[in-house]
Amino acid sequence: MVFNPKTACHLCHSRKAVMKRPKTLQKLCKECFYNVFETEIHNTIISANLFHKGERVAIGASGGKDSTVLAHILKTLNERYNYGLELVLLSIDEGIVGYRDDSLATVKRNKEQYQMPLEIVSYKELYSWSMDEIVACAGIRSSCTYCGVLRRQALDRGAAKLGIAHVVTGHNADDMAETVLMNLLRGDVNRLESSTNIITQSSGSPIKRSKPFKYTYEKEIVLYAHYKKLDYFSTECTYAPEAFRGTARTLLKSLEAIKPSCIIDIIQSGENFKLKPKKQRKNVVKKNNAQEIEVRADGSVSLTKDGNKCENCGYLSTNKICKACILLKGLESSRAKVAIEGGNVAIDGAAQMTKKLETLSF
Amino acid sequence: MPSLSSFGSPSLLKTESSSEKTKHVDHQRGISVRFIIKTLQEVFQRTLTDRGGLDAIFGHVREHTVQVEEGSNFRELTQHIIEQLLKDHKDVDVFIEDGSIRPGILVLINDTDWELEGEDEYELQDKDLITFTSTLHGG
Repeated sequence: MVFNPKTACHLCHSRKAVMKRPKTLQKLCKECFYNVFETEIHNTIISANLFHKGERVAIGASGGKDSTVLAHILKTLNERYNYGLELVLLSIDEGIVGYRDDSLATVKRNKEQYQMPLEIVSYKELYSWSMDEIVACAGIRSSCTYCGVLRRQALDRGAAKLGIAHVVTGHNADDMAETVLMNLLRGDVNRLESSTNIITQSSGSPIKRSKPFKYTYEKEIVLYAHYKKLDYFSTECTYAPEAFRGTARTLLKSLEAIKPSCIIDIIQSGENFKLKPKKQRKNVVKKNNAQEIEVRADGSVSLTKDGNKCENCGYLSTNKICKACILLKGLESSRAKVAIEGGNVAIDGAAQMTKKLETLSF
Repeated sequence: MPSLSSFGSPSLLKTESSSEKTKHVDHQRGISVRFIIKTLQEVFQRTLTDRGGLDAIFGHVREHTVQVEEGSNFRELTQHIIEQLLKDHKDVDVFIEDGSIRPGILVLINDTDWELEGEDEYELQDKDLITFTSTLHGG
């Protein structure tokens, strides 16, 4: 091939560039891209002190591109830089026929490809509700709300079952910028302040979560998976995505098209956003009253001390009853209704049907 | 939504896709370009809710081979795709924004980022392979 300085990689100046980095606008060849991509994640891990030697770490694996690349990268870096980590794949089976069963098959292949143990925790066994049943009962609109709350708890419980205190997730820079944007648009300042933390931990919870891809662009993750021919599942959840998040995502992508660095800029803004200390409310602090109880507008009861347990399921919660239990309780009452109305709802069907329709042809 | 008539004449372009029974290929003048749609779930979902998703070739056939005029550029291919493969023009804005591929859909031309190839101005070559990957949802 004739050497052409116009198409040459900006780093090695020899091979042909195949991609343009959104963060720096550098044009890189495959080899230099792999190198830069992996090294940046290594630097993030080291500077945030994410791991310690001998730590057991669970990778929240959905079979999608982010978590597949995460598993691949952590395995690579663990060997290259001798982190001394013991890596385990942890998957949640939400019970969405035609979607999750296919993506779990991918995770099972990843288990073999990366030689990592795999643990699957299902909604059905934890809560006795699958997502298909929840959607049949509560409707498709609120599916993300339920799924989000239940998944958070399911990951913690899965990790606890494995005796692991650290879960890493594949959240990338785009996801984080999107969350900052959403909190900003909603005026949710409390969450805005904490939304860019690389490590999060509920008070009193023994399990911490971290995001090694905090500064990694989605475009680069997709390209990495594509060039490395990683085995990932590329179909999305069959249920409707949260409407507002979709809007924030579209906005973010349009901004990125104009100025690719904006994603990292939004994260930086979020990181430097500090709330001024809250004013102490006056009549709240009474010395003799050890058990301060506040009843919130939504009917949930808060306890002042962190690290309390849900009275219903025993899971850590700042409220008397944890959020998952509140949601499930609401569902139980409508399941009863469905049963009375005698509707034999096509529970396992909603997503499966979609799948079937996809493959139909004339 | 961009007006479809702003693109070149569609009658010069012919499509061959695996779901079509009659294939028309003009081998004398055309060059063949293959493209793969990796994740465009939005198209699936929309066609399913609106029309039962039965006649949208887009959603069900992920790989297509298209015959285009020699010297056609990427914009003309895009136009051909929305003219021929998206039968319902309501779906156009899932794929196109302001006359170009919508932000958030990653385009690779022969495995190279299309940003390095001149994007819409890229002149198509025979046997080119184009990949579209949506990053708008999911992980």
